[in-house]
Amino acid sequence: MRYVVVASLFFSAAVEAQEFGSLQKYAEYFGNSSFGPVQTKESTHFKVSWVHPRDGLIAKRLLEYMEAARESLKSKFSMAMSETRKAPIEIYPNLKSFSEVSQLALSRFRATGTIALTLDQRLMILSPRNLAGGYSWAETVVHEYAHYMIREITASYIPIWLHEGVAQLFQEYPRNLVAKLKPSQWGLFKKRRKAHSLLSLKTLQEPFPYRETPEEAELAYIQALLFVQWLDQKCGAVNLIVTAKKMKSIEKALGSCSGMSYESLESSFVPKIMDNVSVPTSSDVEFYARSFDQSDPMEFEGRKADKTAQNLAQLSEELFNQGRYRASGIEMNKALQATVVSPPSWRRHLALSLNKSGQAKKTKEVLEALLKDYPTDAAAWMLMGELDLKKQDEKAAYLAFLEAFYQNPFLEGLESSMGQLSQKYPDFEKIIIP
Amino acid sequence: MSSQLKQYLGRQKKRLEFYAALRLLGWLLLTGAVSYQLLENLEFYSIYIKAAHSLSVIWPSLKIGIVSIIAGLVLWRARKTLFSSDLMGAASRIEEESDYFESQKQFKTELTTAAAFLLKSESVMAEFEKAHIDIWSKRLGAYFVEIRPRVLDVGVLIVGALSLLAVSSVTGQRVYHLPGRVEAWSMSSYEERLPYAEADWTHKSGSLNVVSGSKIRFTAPDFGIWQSFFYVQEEGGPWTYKICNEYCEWEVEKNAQYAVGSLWHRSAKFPLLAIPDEAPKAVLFVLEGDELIPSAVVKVENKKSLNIQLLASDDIRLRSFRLLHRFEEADEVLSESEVHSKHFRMDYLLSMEEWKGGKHEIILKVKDDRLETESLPLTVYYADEEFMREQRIQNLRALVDEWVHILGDLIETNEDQRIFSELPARLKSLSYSEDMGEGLIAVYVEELKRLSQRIENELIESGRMSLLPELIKETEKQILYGLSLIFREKAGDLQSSTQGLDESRKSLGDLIQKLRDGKEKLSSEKIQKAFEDLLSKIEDLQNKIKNLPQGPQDEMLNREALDEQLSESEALEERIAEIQEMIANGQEEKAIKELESLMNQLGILSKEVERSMDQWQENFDQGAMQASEKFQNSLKEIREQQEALAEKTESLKNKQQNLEAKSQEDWKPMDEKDKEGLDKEFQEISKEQSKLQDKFQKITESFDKAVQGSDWEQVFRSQEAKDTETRILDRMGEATEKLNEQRAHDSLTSEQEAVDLLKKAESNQQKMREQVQKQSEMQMGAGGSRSRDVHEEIELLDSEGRGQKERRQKIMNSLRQKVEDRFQGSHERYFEDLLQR
Repeated sequence: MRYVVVASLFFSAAVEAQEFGSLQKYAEYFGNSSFGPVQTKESTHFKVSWVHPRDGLIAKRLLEYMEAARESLKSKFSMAMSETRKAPIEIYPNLKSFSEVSQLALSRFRATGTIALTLDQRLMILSPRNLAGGYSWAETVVHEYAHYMIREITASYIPIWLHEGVAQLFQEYPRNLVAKLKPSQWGLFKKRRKAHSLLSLKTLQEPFPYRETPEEAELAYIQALLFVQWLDQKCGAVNLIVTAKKMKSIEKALGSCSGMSYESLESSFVPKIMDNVSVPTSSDVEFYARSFDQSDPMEFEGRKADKTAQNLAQLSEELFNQGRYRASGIEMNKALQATVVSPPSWRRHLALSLNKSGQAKKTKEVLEALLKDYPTDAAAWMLMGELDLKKQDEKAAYLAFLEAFYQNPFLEGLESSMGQLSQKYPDFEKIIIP
Repeated sequence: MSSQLKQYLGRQKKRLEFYAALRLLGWLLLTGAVSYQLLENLEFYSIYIKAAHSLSVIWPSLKIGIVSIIAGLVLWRARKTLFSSDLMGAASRIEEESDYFESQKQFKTELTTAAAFLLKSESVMAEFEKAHIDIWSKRLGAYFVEIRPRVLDVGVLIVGALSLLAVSSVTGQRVYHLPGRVEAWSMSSYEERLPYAEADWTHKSGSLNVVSGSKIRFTAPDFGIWQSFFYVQEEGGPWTYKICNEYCEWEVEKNAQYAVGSLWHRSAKFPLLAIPDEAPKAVLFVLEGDELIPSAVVKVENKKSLNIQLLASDDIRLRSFRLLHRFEEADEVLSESEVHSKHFRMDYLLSMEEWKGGKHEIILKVKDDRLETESLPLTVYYADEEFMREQRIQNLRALVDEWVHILGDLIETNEDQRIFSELPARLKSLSYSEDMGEGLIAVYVEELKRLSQRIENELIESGRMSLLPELIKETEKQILYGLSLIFREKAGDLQSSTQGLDESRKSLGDLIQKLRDGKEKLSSEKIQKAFEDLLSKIEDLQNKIKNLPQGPQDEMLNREALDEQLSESEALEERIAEIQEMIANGQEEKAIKELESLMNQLGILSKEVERSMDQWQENFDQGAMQASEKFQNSLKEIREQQEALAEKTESLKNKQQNLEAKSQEDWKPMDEKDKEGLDKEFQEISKEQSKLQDKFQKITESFDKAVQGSDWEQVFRSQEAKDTETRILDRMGEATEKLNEQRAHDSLTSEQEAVDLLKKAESNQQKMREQVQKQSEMQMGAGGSRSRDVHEEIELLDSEGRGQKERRQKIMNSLRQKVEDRFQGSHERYFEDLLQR
């Protein structure tokens, strides 16, 4: 079965936890696991547990990353941070165990592509080992940690949109302090706004993963982030949570923050706040803003272009398989020019073709452009690292590998490449943020 | 002190005994060797005499017995020597060998006396005796000597050992020499026994000429008292002899020469010819028409049995045969039996029921008494649909790969603006397998040939670089079409699966809604049926996904996850089973939730696949078949336009008639304004008609181009079709002309004729396409759902003896001729032998 990750959807602990009774302890559940004994590792403020021996690969870096993230979040969440209690992070070896401990149906995981949860103040993630393309596991744990801290401030009064909005606002800490939407997200937002089908604030109070379609769920996350960004500018998102706790009401806190009554805030949410959001005008955003309704001429054109590009990409692959790397590169270039948005694998294929036909400089350019558009493309980082390694720029290579590691630590060959470099340069191991 | 002397003398006594034993051993060896050799000589020469030879059986035991008796006698004789030594003897030898006694001769015998005293018991010993012993004990240092062996002791031992050595080296080395004296003798007849267990002696005459491994014998000649011998010298070996009793016998292995005689005389030497035992021969024939083809390689298509003939022979006799069917390195015995003759022939109907497609070999294994041999295989390329499809796919894939290289060459030529060095040679070396079948693939191959020719002519020979982009585009189109053909060959119909899955999904969705609304029960048969339907659709789709050209593959992935996912590949089916189990367990709510989740997943899956399927359908549509469809659509469009024009002409004709009638009625020329209007309208319609004519010409030309060179050119562009098109063009031209002359009525007739002809052309096109489609479906065979006319075929690809076809034909004809009954067996054997050579 193909594992489909619809989007990075995360349940809100605030709502979910209420539905369940006490959850089974990690160590208890995996007491007699066939994977082996439960292993743990601790830092000053976190304790990570895992059971699959391979997951030990990410434990050390996860702790270091989380300590760095905590440090950068301190200015925002100091009131929620305990010096004595360590936040537990649990790595689940597979979807089945994740589903059984969290008491959420497997079908929900499958349908929503859920990979992380915060329940009972436990940060639970699915091991990136389970996903062929990996996922931003460190960033995901920071997202969950934001949920954790919100609940540390208050377990009540906080609606789902605020939980998810705030978690998204801070999830890229400590690497990026400003949350940004991806072109595909902007495109979706623009399309729905144009079609007057944005979600109302009331709708955003319902659990996101239960939206009718994955697209709607994604839209809920987008709108939540945009709204929280708007509120953050007004009074500070964390302050809003603290105020809600103090006033024992989110409505009152929102009124105090925005200077508008909750009712008027609710009524002006779409027509004023969402409509005033400035959407970037780049071509990829326009591409994603296409209507997927077949009567839309843009969509039709897009599909036609996609087919031409797909054909050219197929020809490029055929040429590559026959060892005609130069021609393969030329053909893939044509494919990329024929479409606005291409899968990152095509660009990696182009890079590989160029590299194999001895065009190192062009390879680097292609990879750099690819990483600009897809900064989390682990395979591209890995290729970049290999390229740097060829040029004997070992530090640059290690940094590229580290980027890949934060996305797909189990990428074939990555572990050994990093291992060889850190054996040669032990100081490299100390680098946390590439 | 006395005890010291006693010990000394005791040691010397043992020495003496040892020397005596050595001497005895020497005697034993000597007498044993000499007597054994004497007996050997006796035995060797006894063989000369017939009567003495009869003792040959007892000779070995006789030899051992006599030698043992002699050895016993020697031992008995020597026993005194061996045990005669005592202290006195030792003292006496010391007195002989010690220098002390040589210089003090007066003391000789004194030590012997002391030794005699020592033999007494101390209690009965007199004082002087004791004193004597003491004296000689004290003098021990002066006369001390170790007794040495005497020359005789050692000499006898050496001679004995040498004798033994000599006898043992001589024993068995003696040979009988071929007597020099020759006396006249000739063999009248002999008997032969062939080399197998139950063989009997058969009487033969003439020269000794036998199968290797056989035995021969003949009555031994009588030489009076002298023993008869059979002398044989095999190729490269020495002469050997065999004693003849009643018979002289020999097992023939090699060519040899032989003689008979006694040890004093012999006959002349005669040749003995050993014919090597040949391995049995086996051949399998395929019956093709009237002809039997040996060791053939045949391709069998849609035929369930094959007439073959088994033929085997041996120079001595056959024992058994086994007919084997070999497929994928596994042997299956089709038939086996014992045979008791030199020749064997059997007709056999080879059943190919339930055979899998691929290379099958039929082998005949035959055994004689010593050797086993197998025939050259009869190779059957059994072409079931699967096999034929695989073969077509392989050939097509190889061809597409070659063209991918050509595309690479063209792209690089375009990039460098210089002909890629390998391109001309590559185009020349392009090979097209004959096994491409007919229909779509054959048309495709023709297209490629045409394109190859075009590249050669227009690019390589004329050097028109400006054509490169067009040629690249065309090559790309052809490769993509080739890939879509491969996909279609692998997966069958491209579109129906996703549609089918979508329909199943929707109907299951409706059912879920009904479940939610309480209008349907979860355990109903409808649900079960919907599941089954869905499962079969998923299976079909999964097969197609597997074969779908995927484009650049993302290989830089986490392989651990892929491996785990692979083990979950059957998850969709498993999930359906899980849901069914939930239903069975009454977990309705949970089952419905799981169902909904499954529906989402299927939705994603079918959308994902639909997109790729669309693309390959479109690439497929680029082919010649589609050109016909396009042409038909254009014909329809032109016909509709012609009909519209005819309507306009009709109304113009009416208008003209009215105006003319009015003018006639009024006895006035037609109003100038009306006339102008009429002129204008005629011009416009005429212009439109002319345009339509051009358009028609263009579409026929373009269709010509599309199918030019393909197998279907004759079908789509038949003379009849071309005649119809010419007539359409003529009618359209006439209509234009008549419209220009404002002969509306005449024009209308031509236009209507053109419409009728267009309809005919349209329907012809439809019929032709159906015909081609039927033919191509027969070829495709994929997908399993199409009907297929069964076409039985055996094609002889090769035969081991094909070069000698004519010769074999003659032999076969001879074989079929009847001769007298009593000669029929040997007649057949003769020709069968010929056939096998």
